Amino acid sequence: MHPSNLSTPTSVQDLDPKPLQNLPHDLIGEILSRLPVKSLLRFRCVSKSWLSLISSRQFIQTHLIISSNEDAYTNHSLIFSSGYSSFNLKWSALQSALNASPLQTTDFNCPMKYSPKSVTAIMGSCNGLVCIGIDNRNLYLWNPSIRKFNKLPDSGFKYISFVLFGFGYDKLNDDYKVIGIGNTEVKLYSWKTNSWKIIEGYNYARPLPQQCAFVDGKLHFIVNTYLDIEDSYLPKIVSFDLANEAFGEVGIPNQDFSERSLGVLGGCLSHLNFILEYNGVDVWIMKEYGVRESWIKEDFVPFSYMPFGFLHCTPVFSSKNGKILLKLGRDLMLYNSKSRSVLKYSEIQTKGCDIKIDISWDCDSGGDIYVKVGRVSVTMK
Amino acid sequence: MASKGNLTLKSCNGKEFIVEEKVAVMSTTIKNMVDVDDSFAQGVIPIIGVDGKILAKLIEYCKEHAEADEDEEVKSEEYLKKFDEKFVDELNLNDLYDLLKASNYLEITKLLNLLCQKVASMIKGKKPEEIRRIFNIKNDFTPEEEEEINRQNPWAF
Repeated sequence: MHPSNLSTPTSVQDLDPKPLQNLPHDLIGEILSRLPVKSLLRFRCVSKSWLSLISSRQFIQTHLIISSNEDAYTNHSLIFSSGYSSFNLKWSALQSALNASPLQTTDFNCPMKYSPKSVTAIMGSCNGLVCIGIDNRNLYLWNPSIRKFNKLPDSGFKYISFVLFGFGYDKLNDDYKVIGIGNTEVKLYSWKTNSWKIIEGYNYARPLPQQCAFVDGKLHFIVNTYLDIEDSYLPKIVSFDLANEAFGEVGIPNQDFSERSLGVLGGCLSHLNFILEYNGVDVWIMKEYGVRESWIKEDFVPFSYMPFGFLHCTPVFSSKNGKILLKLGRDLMLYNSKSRSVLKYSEIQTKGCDIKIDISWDCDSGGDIYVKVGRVSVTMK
Repeated sequence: MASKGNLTLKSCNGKEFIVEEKVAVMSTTIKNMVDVDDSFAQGVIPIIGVDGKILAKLIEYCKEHAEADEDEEVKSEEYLKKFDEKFVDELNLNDLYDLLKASNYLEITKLLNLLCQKVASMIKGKKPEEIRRIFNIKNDFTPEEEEEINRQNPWAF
């Protein structure tokens, strides 16, 4: 599904290619860091110096930064899980979802072996890596761009469907971590040590069963604390700092009695309130992370129809030009803040939805990201 | 001599261009020269290794972008995008190469990004042997090594 990777009818062959033969090495790096991952994998065999450049940590990071900041979002995809067994993971170009064009969904070529009856759940996505759970049993870190994955060791949780998982990157220690908050215990997986450990000090109620929001090196989720005296619930945003591995709180924009959810929009922590009487959601953005006063109500997204059943609405993505993707129930919706119009994508029904960026990071190599010549990939059996 | 607010840029083959300062300082290299040494702002700034034809191209690009930075109303994002597209599409390979080197040396980040993106889109669908030919690279892998690397991601070929 990368038509762009097929031969392009450009002028390189028609013209005398001599000029490009003397390009300085740093310009080669600049050019390569703007290529799709598929091309990079193919160009690893061009020469030893290209292989070492493409495999180098610095290059992978530069490539990720350029990919994630690219204005047209060509390196971003939406990934969907259904929660039903008959549906594998699917993906779709983010660009087409933002352009209100019909959503072409494609089955993910998922290398993890599981039966057609398997149920997959997306736990989170960060820096191009996706954390998914299969059959309420196994967790995987997966890089779909290079089709590599790493099965996590057993977390020890009896049923992972009752555990809230969150996935993010610990910049301080250059590590990817997965937190699992169960009924009785909290555990943390580290990619570097490839093991789980118990985290003490969780003194909150059970988190709402929603995807965690990863912002500023911390994972965020909502808890409703029961207040005996008032016989009501007090909503709180709890954070977990992946670097110092401690819990904290972030001020919540309001305590209205409503359905609420967290997510990341435009790089900021965002909060949705479902307003039943207006049939829509208030979109709140925390402009300055950690500053409660910086919450602003960015928009109100009206729903053009009354959705059935459990009305859970979560933020998915917002573009620089004012378009917001939301998930309402199982529907994916596009809101255009300029025209104030809402479009429902009827092509997809999804339980879990996330954004993924193309990256050539090798998640299976356990700390050693330098791809060696002659190293046999053990995961692609 | 350039009047106030203007700078004079001189190409390696002696062509002089009088440009507004805001246009010239799109180049970080020129900006640093002017900031550090006031005499550059008065006199002529030599642009080493860049000939008149390429310098004119650079100025054309910087002018559009400097004006857009100043007044978004007149030159919208959409307009600039179209301008950029046309700008790179009209380049032949020799000019593309000269502009790449010049924008790298003069640190015109936006233009460098644009040109690198252009080359990337030209080569992204190519085969490894075509890449070696285009960039004049010698394959220093043994056939076994090359096969081994390719076996790791057969679907990318």
